[in-house]
Amino acid sequence: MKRRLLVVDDEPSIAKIVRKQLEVAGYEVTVAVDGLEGLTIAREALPELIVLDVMLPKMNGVEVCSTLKQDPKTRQIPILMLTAKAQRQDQDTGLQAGADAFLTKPFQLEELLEKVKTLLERSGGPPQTVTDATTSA
Amino acid sequence: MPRPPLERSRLNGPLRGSTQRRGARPGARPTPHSEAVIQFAWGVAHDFSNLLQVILGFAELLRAQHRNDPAVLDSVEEILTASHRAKRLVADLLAIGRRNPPVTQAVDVGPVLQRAAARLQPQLGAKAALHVAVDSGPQYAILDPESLERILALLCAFAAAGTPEGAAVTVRAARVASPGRRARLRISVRGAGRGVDRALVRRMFEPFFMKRQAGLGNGLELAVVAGLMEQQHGSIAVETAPGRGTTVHLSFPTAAAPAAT
Repeated sequence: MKRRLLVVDDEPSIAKIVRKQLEVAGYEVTVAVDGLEGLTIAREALPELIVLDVMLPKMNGVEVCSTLKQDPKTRQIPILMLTAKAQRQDQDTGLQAGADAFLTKPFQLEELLEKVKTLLERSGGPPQTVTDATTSA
Repeated sequence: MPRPPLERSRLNGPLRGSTQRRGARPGARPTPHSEAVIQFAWGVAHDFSNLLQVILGFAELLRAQHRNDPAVLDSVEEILTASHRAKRLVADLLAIGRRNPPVTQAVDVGPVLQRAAARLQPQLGAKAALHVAVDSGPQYAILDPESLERILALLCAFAAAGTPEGAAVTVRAARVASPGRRARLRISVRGAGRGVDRALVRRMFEPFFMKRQAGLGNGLELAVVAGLMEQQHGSIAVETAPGRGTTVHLSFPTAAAPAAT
């Protein structure tokens, strides 16, 4: 069974490429386009990992992260935060909110897949054979 | 005809008034123009990194999906090569914007300089021989090794650009102590180029200034050096005179060797 991930990013092109890269690697991906939608889907669908942009409309990524990490129902979901600003401040705030890892845009495919894989392994859950998108034809 | 005396200028926080330290001269304060360029650099870097993410992402996906098609791969590799250069440019713009301070730590600079030299010599080629000298024994300073390597790459390229064919670019690291002051680790990069006029020294770390003056590189190199140094709490001094080459001195706080674990 494919592992279910949620990608929250308001930039349609970035959401699309992250979704495609993760799907090629064998994951099932749902996309949310703002923080509030991301929070709602996370609570209802309980994905196994969330890729969360920091700067989002309606509710920013740090608030979404903090809210999910305070809820016993969702606190175990690993959160990988994306930041375009490359600001240490963003990472410090995100860590305080409970984020599990960070990726600074622009990142490479291997970095994304490696982080996702590591976080999923750390969180346990069902074993999953993941296709390596960097070597698949 | 007497040779012009070497001019030595300290350039602590050369572009921003907020980080001026004791000893900095009023002339090192930023101009409104350079402040505007710093803000502009930051804004461009922020937006461009999003665009670059899309370009890089889809190019990598194409490469993965067309691994057996040489014609497609050839084109995709060109896109990726250009994208990685653009990624470097974004990192440089972020350094100029000074909003991404690196994590500094106690580092023995000798191995960092040797590693940087091994990477840089092939890039300098026959144009200039790169010589590295470090005081004997471990020399620890508080800095970010990745930023230091980038600074050395930029300064060596700057030094080599003005150096006569076959002359040397030298990098020297030494502990400098003076009475009543904390010891500093000084890394000096010297090129035997034509030197910089006294009136220009204070402006040479502004974005695009040296490009306008001497047509060097993309004009951001020394501004990136200034940004990276400021973010590491280091300082810069320049020793130069027309016809006598230029030495850029980088100064970092020294540190004790980390305790063995």
